Amino acid sequence: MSQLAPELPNEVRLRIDEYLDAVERVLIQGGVTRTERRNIVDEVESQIYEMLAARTDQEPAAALTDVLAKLDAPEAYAPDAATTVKAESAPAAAAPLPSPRALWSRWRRWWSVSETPRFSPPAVVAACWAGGVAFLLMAVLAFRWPPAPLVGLLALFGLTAPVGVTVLGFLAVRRIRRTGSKEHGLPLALIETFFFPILLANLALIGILAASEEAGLILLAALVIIAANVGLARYAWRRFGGQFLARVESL
Amino acid sequence: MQAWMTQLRKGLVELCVMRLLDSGEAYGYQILQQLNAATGLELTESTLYPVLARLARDGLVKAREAPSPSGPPRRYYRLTAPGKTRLAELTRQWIGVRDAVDHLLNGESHESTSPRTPE
Repeated sequence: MSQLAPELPNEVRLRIDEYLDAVERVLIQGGVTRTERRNIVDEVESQIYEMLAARTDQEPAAALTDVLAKLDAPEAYAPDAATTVKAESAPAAAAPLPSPRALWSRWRRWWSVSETPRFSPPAVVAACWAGGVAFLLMAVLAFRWPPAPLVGLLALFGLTAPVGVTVLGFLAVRRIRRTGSKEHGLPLALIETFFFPILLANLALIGILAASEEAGLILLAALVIIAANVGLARYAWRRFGGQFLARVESL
Repeated sequence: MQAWMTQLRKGLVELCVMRLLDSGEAYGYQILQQLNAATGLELTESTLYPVLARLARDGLVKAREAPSPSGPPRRYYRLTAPGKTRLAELTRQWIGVRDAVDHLLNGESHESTSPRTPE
């Protein structure tokens, strides 16, 4: 903002910022580069002030309402926007089904690292994967003779889940830390990362316990189980305990 | 029809912006006003500013900032040497397309414009 900017009431400035933020969000979603985004948003801001300067006879809030009504809606800045959308335009017609290429493009935009705060995409995919497996498992168990396609789906997603969910959880943790927590969902990502390794380790040790008749081995396995779970609980408490207590105290 | 017109306009904006900047530098809102006054294309800012940003990215226009009495600094754009070359090329292509479409719309054809030699 220039030092020559006229003094505007805070609420008017906030409304301008809201509009500019909305434009920038659409540009980000459209994959527009940071430099181009900055240029476009600066030009729009400059135009708003030029238009306000031509309305000195009006109250600033009323003048801004008038100006915003004349500007395009933020959605019009989408790179693939087929039509120019006015802020006061009529409701849009039903959109046609997107092509596979458009869907792929949307997926890539959603998956790529974003500068706007949001839930981490890998964490969301991993949660859906694990949730889907749990749902399929319940569906299979509900049948006395489950249909083959259902069993096939469960086998496909269930057998790959330990690797897939763990890798996605790890990816989510790494992205959340690299983006300085602009992407959030760290607790979920950590659970996804550790859930299957801990589960499999526990199952393996329980298997050893069940199969073994040697007292020393049973004791060792039991100790490893306890140590692994206590270690994980301690790590989680150290990492999130403070946040949890702060949240409880603020209630 | 509306979508088709919008796409057509978008395609022409680059040519019109470069032609306007060929005659002197101008800032964003000024370009918008001048284009609308001169061409009747009814451009809006959501069409123009992305084009300006793209032209700047490609080095076809260059911007300089100058203080504005109304608020944030104005960004004055001018055509660069590669921009002038591109403008000449686009102009040549546009004239070719315009002439071809004019011929078609006026019911003329290559046969009628270039008479056959008798066999």
